[in-house]
Amino acid sequence: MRPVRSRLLRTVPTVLGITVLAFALVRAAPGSPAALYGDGGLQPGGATLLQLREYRRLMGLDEPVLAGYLRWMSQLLRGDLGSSFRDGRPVLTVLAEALPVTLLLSLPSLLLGYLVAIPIGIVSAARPGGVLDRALGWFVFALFSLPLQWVALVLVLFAGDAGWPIQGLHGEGMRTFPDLLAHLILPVACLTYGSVAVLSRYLRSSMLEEMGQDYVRTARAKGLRESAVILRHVLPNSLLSLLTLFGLTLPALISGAVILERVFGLPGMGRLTFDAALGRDLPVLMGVITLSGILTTLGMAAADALYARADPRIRLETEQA
Amino acid sequence: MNGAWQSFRRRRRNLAALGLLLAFFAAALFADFLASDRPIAMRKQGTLYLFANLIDYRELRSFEARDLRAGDWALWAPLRHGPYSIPAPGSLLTPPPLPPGPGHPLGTDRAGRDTLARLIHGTRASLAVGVAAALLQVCLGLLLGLVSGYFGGLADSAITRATEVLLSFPLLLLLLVAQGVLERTTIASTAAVIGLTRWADTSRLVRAEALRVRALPYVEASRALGAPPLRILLRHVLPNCLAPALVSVAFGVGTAILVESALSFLGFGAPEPTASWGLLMADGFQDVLDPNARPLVLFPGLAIFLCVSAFNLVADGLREALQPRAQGAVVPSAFITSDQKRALSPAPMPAGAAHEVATYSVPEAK
Repeated sequence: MRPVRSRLLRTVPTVLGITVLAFALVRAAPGSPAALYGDGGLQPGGATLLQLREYRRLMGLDEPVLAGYLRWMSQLLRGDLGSSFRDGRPVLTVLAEALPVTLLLSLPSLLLGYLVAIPIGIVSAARPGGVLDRALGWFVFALFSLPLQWVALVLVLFAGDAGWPIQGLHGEGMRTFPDLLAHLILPVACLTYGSVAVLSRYLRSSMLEEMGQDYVRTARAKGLRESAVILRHVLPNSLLSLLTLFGLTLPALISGAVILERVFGLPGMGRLTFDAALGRDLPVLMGVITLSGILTTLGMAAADALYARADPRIRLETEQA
Repeated sequence: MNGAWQSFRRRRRNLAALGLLLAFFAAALFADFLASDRPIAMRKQGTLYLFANLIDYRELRSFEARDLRAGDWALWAPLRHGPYSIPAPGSLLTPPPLPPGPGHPLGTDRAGRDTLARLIHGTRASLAVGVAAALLQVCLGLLLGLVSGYFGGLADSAITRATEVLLSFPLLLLLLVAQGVLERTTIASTAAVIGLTRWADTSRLVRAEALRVRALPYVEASRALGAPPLRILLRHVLPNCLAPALVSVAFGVGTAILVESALSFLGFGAPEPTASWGLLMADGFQDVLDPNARPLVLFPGLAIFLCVSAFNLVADGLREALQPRAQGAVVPSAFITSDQKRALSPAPMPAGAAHEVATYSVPEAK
């Protein structure tokens, strides 16, 4: 358990940094300290005077920066993120409603990304420089340069023509699982292609690196079939390091969700951020940035810890350190 | 540097990508000569007006093509629409968006503005944001990466922590919040927030290089000769870090263009009525059910794809030419690079062992 614990401990400064960033960003909002109070009208996002007063208290806007930060942090630790300017509901409730929708997109996408990337990586590494490898190389390279919103829009155009559902999570009056699946396929596919590109390239180069090792030469020397060398000796070692990458793809998945939730009209975190930014709903923006930062940091830590658990060399290293 | 160019030139795709990039820059520079509702040069009632497409002549404010009399002439741009020109009210038979046709090769948006003209002029916004953001990113990244890698200590841990925070953040979410906090977004603020959040990528690479170089014997020798730290930093460490920095600029421009288009698409990048590829797609998204608006969605995406591919290809070529040893740069290489081929070949042997290896060589999988 020790590597897990030490890795989790290392997230503490990062999480602190995230809260500082969130606080600084929103506190530095141009015109906010004065304008938020001044005319008592409907300055940002139609907030009432009462809401503004509460916001100023929560953010410690009437106090020096450090005292304000400490007050906000202490509220945060108690789970109080203030309430939305838009409808006065607690930010935590608003976030809790939106998060599952984003997870519904990103978790299947994460899984699917690995399922598609692993065969592509293996096939490319099996014959490096071969026709298939070069073709896949160009294909993956193209994926890197495609704007996500364009891919989503093009799918919407063609799927819409074909009568496929392109908006929301459910059809009119439908609450069935197949219906949900039909609504999720397009956004999940869009969200996945980016991680397929990253993961498959990574797996390929990591497998090629392994193939230069002595144990691979030994395996070949004893007359093992090439497919067995690749699948039984090289692949397991490369897969292990591929695991850590799931942490690195998390931020990109959430960024992607922002665009896809807009195009496909899904009520998730991305949509929430979009609406909050549009209406300058500062408490919600702060909540979003804090929560998403903490979640991705924890995800990355989990990936690292998993890796450490699986690889005895790393486990020993961290235990000795 | 000369050797790097030779190595860059060897691949045809590098040159093709470079040519494509130059074409995009030319389109941005000469957008007013490609698509404009004012003539490039004209003679009207005995007066010669040069570059009316660039210069706002007071006498020509209300000029229209049918004002030309006998003896007058005008030299027009190939496309006679500007990015902002709106048809006179009542001049259209059907309400816009218009489908592609003789007057408008790619149709118009719902305000009646020509799509091709906006596409051409949109190159400016994308390249401006891309280049400005990447320059900001690389300046910050070089400075902070050098300080962090060379001096170490408290500065290093603070900077490393900051890069960790920035890299662990969903970029688009952070940018959306940053732009949402601002009272209004501009092209400049878009470039600034992209550069201010993405320096961490460059700084990570520069730091690693600075750490490596700091330990090299010639740097140690220089230190032993009594060279001040600043001199060592500028004369010995910085030049070594320029290669990774240059590669990360090239990749950075591509990423910044993608990010700008996403932000503009969401309405938090370039403000209306700027011609920007992302905004064009947003206009097309508004009319997503109208088949006439489809070019608005399709073509900006293609333009972004081509432009970003060109930058990424050039970046990949630069990486290969400048730092053959580098592994795991910003974007994994899409191609077989020489170092990966080397990983396949047997490890180098000491000179004496070569003979033995030749006799008992293991068949290499190929």
